[in-house]
Amino acid sequence: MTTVSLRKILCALLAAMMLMSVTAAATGEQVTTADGETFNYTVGATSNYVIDYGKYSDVDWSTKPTFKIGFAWMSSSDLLWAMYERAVRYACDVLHCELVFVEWDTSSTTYIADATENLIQAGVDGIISGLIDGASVDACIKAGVPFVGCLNQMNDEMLKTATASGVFCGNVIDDDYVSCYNSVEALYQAGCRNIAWIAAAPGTTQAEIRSKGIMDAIAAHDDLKEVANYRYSGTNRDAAFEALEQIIAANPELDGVALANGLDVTNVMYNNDPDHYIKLGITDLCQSYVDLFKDEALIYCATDQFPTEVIAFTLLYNKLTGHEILSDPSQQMVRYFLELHNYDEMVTMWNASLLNVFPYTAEQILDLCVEFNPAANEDLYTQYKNDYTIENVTKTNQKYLDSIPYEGRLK
Amino acid sequence: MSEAVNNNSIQEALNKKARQRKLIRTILPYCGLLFVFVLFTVVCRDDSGKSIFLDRGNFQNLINQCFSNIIVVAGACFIYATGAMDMSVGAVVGMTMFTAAATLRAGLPWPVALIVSMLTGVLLEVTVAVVFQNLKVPVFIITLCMMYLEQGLLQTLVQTDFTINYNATSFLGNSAGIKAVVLIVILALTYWLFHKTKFGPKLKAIGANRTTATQGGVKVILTVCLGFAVLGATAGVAGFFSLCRMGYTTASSGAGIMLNVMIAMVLGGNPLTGGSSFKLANAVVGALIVTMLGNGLTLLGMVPALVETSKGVLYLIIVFFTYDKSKGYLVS
Repeated sequence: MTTVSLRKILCALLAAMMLMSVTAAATGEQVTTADGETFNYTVGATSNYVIDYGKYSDVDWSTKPTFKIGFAWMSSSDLLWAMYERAVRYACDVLHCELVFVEWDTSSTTYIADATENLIQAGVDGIISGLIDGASVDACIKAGVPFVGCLNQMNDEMLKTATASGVFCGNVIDDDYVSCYNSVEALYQAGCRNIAWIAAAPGTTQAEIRSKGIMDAIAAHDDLKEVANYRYSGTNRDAAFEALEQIIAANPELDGVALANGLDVTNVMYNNDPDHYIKLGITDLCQSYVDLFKDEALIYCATDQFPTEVIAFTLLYNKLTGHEILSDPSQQMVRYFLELHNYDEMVTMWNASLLNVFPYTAEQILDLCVEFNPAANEDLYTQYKNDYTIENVTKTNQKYLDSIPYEGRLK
Repeated sequence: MSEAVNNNSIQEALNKKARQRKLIRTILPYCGLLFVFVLFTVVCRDDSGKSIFLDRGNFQNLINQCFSNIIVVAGACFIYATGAMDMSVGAVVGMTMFTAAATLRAGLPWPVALIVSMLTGVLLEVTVAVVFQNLKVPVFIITLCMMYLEQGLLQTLVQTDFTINYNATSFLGNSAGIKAVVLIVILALTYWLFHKTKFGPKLKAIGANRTTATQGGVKVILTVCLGFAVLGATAGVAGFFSLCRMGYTTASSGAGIMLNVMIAMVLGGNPLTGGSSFKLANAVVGALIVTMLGNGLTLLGMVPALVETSKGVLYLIIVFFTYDKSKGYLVS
């Protein structure tokens, strides 16, 4: 191949890449609510958030501080993973802050610290990090940049060091143990007595906590039998699908499967259990679970960790505006998952969390910030945690959820 | 006579062209590095217009961030020069982090942990070399198998976040000064080994033509094993310092490094088939480009979706100009 033709191919490739990146952003489909508000409801739409300030509609934002917030998390190429970033972006837009989002480059062994240092160098005022390691803590302390953790546990030593620094706002995590315990409990209540379970391989605190939840729930019932279990490597999820197929084939008495992570097992279940005799209880969500819920193969799903980082962000915002919420940041704040039990709840949660309607409205977010609500305190945060149910999310966002056409849901 | 004169002038013209091509090929990777450096110096600025890329704090960040990459890449040159590659190097780094962590948790001092880490790397890599050379299966396949084996071993050994007393060793993990010194020492040592002793030329001879190297008196098996051993030692150093920086290790620590190594080799213009044109400095330049790109694109505030696209486009451009396409195949 000549040099000239190679160059032509290269130019065409570059042009195609540019074109693809420009057209990649979904524009969304618009609807109007009963009182005239317009918003996009298409999954992945990048414009037209619903920002309902409610009682704070008259706030003069020119008198309020604005900040540059850094958020480090995993790749957001997957639709559901992208929600983590969109939730924080939404909170930043509500509070008129600028978001600098950095994806972890996991090809580096020290990707967490690298991302934190780069964010600090980019001049952020505060950092939200989905994982915190020693070097990240040191970097934030050295730079005097307030930081908050979310979604993953921190070990005690790091918590102590971070708390003593004065720039640590706390760590907000989801209750992995309870969600996995409850998934087995839901299977038991549904009549399952021969259960298998699949979890990520040992090696992270989260994997261990979730597995323990499952194992403890099984041990709590004398008439509940564990027929098989499988631990898959995080980089080889396909092995989990194969393992599930083999478990189903090798154990005809199997009537329940607990998954500690959101594996996309829908095809496996439809191919190997077309009558849906086996019931599923899962922690974390996959888009295809809607079919499993519809066919009542899935009877429990713990999901919606997306508000966790919104809560974390409000802790950071309070810190940046000079207010401490947590009396002891070394005590990790634990939020409950949203528990879904049927198709309707899945649709509601999907529409509420994955479209441009977020479970916490702008008014609720400002309620958590002392700058706008002097009564915001630790008790209010506890109340938010306890009130996070599908019923309350539906009630809060009723007018938006009602305006989305039924056939448009789960698009 | 005139024919002889013509032949001489043609030969001179050809020689001149060859020298020019060699010069261009030599400086192109550095041009790539310079381009990336200048680009980010100019565009990454704060609100007051000051460059945040060309900044003392950012230089310290770059040293911290490129440290592990450069050290592993320097060691990887000793096997890539032979036309081999190692898909298991990430798992090896993970294993070295584990053994270092286990040593520190047992209460032993950090120098012992560093030595244990290096020995672990050497042992694992020499095992790879022995297996690959005895089974006579392509090295890509052998190292892939070893990668799965070592990852499985790591998952068995690391049952949860395997933490160390971070405060006792953080001065090693986060000090740009110490890391800069270690980097210089290791680069000087590997450069001397690769370019100033017979070891490097032997490795390149194996990469150029294994049969000819054997006939020329090179002890191929021993030389390749030693090359893998050097990689293992550098992986051990990288693993130890990564552990000190993070404060813990997990079952997936080190995953992904092998891609960085491969990209660094290619960006630096080194042929993946090894051979005489292989240069350690080029690989280091490639590793620096990889790190600077990640750092600079973040400072630029670029949307993550575009970061990956931009990286891919820039890699494509740099590789198009710098990669040695003289051999027709990827690896031997």
